[in-house]
Amino acid sequence: MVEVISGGLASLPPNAAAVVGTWVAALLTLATLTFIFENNPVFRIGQYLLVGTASGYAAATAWNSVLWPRLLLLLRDPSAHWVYGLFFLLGLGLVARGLGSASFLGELPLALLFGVGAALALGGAVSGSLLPQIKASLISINPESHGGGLLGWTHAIDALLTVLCTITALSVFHFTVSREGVANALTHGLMGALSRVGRQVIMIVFGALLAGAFLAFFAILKSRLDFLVHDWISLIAHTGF
Amino acid sequence: MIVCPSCQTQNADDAQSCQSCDEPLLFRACPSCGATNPVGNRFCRRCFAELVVSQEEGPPSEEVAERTADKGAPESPGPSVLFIAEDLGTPEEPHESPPADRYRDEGAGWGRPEPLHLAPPDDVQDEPEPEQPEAEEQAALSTELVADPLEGLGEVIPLEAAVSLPHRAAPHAAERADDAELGEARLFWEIAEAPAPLREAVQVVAPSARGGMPALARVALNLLVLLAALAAVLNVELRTSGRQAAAPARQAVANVAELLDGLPQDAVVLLSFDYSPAYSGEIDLLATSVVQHLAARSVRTVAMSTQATGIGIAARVFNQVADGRPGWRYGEAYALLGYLPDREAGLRTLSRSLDAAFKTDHVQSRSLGELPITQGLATLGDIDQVIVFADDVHSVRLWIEQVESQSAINLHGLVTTRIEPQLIPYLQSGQLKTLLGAAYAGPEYASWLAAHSEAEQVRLAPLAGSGGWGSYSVPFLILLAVAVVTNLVYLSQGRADRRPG
Repeated sequence: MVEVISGGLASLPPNAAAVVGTWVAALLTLATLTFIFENNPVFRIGQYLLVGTASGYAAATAWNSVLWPRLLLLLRDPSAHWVYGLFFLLGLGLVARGLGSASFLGELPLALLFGVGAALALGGAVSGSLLPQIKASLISINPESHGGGLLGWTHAIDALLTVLCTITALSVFHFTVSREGVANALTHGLMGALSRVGRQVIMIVFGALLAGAFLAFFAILKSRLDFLVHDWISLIAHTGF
Repeated sequence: MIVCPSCQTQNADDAQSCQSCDEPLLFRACPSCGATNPVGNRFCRRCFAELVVSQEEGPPSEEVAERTADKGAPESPGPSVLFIAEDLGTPEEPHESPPADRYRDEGAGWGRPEPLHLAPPDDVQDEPEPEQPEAEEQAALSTELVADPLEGLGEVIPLEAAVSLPHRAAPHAAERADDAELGEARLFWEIAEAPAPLREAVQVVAPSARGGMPALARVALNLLVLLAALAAVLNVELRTSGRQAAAPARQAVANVAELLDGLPQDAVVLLSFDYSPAYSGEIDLLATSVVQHLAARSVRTVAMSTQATGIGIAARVFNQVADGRPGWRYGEAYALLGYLPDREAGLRTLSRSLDAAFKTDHVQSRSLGELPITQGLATLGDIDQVIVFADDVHSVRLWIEQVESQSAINLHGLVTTRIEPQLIPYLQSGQLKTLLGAAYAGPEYASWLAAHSEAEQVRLAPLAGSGGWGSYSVPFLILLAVAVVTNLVYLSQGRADRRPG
């Protein structure tokens, strides 16, 4: 059976794989674009194929790139790579999580995964995002500190706008202000004015995000149309199929 | 028929409580304070005096009932008084009971209860005069012990009518639904009771009260988007050579290209393909341009991915570039390190040791020490530039938090245009050396390569999809027009909605 298939594949022309691949890609592209009319079985076939092949490819990659090389090291020299055996046991315990009576075996690897992951994520967020971003927000609005001249003023205005937009955007989420007393009433009025400006700032940001998303999806649409016009139709025009 | 004093509901003659509001329909006047109490109460709810006649005392005598009917209030409090609303409106007491309309018209939520027609139980009416002297003695004793505080006031104040009023606000009568509400209720019932549709695409869309965008405007906008896509495919580009140099996006792309162009040949660049196939259409062009540029400069290039499918995309991009360059060999000029699982821990491991993160390479399954290109690479400190192609913010943030903050590397983010604005703070803080959106940076980078290939004798393969798509191209201008028209229609629609009437 394998010999028959191998012989059949060997007898194909050298560019057969490219031709078949182009046709499959073109048909799946058209199937995906049929969603413009409505959700239909053709579109869903393409959707399921994408999810299925991506999952299968991910599993194969994890086995080939991660599991198999380390398992080989363990089998070749167990004394030197015994730690991989421990990791494999922990992995098997994770698999046992769905076996009912043996599910307690998965508690230790789960605790390790969540504990180490949370510690690394928290430490990284503090040292990599929180502190550097706070430091970066402390910017000077003095034009001289930006070199002076027109460029310095430009940077100073930009810095001032950054500070104002940050404060006004944060004030939008300040909901609990007491109105009793003069000081609280003044604070309430100030926060109300800031939040009204901050709401417009947030709307502008949302508009920019939406425009970016629209541009990204339009680029993907353009690349697919490019493929259909330049690859698929050119293939048909040159080879006849 | 008994009319409830609270909600005016008509109840059957033998009803003990209202069928609508469950209020008791049979009251017993307190012998101490005169407050009305449900007939089942043993103690008065106002003064806590005892109301219920014990078995030894027997039911109220006919004499007591007659006195109640004659004067509306007991001459003597007695053990308890059965209060029958019907008796309040009897012709024998017109001077004490105000007309029903007087109470019905006064105040909001208050009204004199309809006369209750409740015949006293037969056993009470027909019960003969108690013959046992003990009962009479007990009644006389209780009369002496419990004095009626309202005694004597009944002739000047209509006490019977006053105590018959309910002691709380009567609930508002239910308003009758109009035709619109009935129609909505009927529609809701039909939707709730209708069988579930088999087709997923079927949706119930409620008609908007606003006018929305006119149908003609919708069609025009769709046509504009299609026109923009066709213009991009057909390589329609404006002749704006004078202004192109001033475009900030083009300048940012040129800065990255010049940075890579100035790298020495022994430099090492790490490319991380952290995006899914769904975004290949946007990022592939930029990634291919960068790889092609590095290949043309003979810069050592290694690639990896923190997504399982990303390493496949990297293999495709490198194979595409290598096909046109016979001298650009795997293992010597470039290598695919592979897939790095468990992002946080994996990236920490990578920053500490490349050999610990990748046991073998992705293509030939050889250890990194066996590949000529990776010999001498121990940590990320040995790598000059790290470029991350990503389609989500989290991937880039992990590189910043787990790698850049731990070891000083030159990190560049070449991402989808969708997530680019969210990463600008990292660019301003200096944690990202470069930030580019692939939708515009891909064509710009390809154009930069094409413009510089002749001068520097760099042989470049033509990149598919690189034409007709730039910062000043027709598609961009059409999309800009779409955005402007959409906002104008929205604003005009909003102003029309705010107009009174």
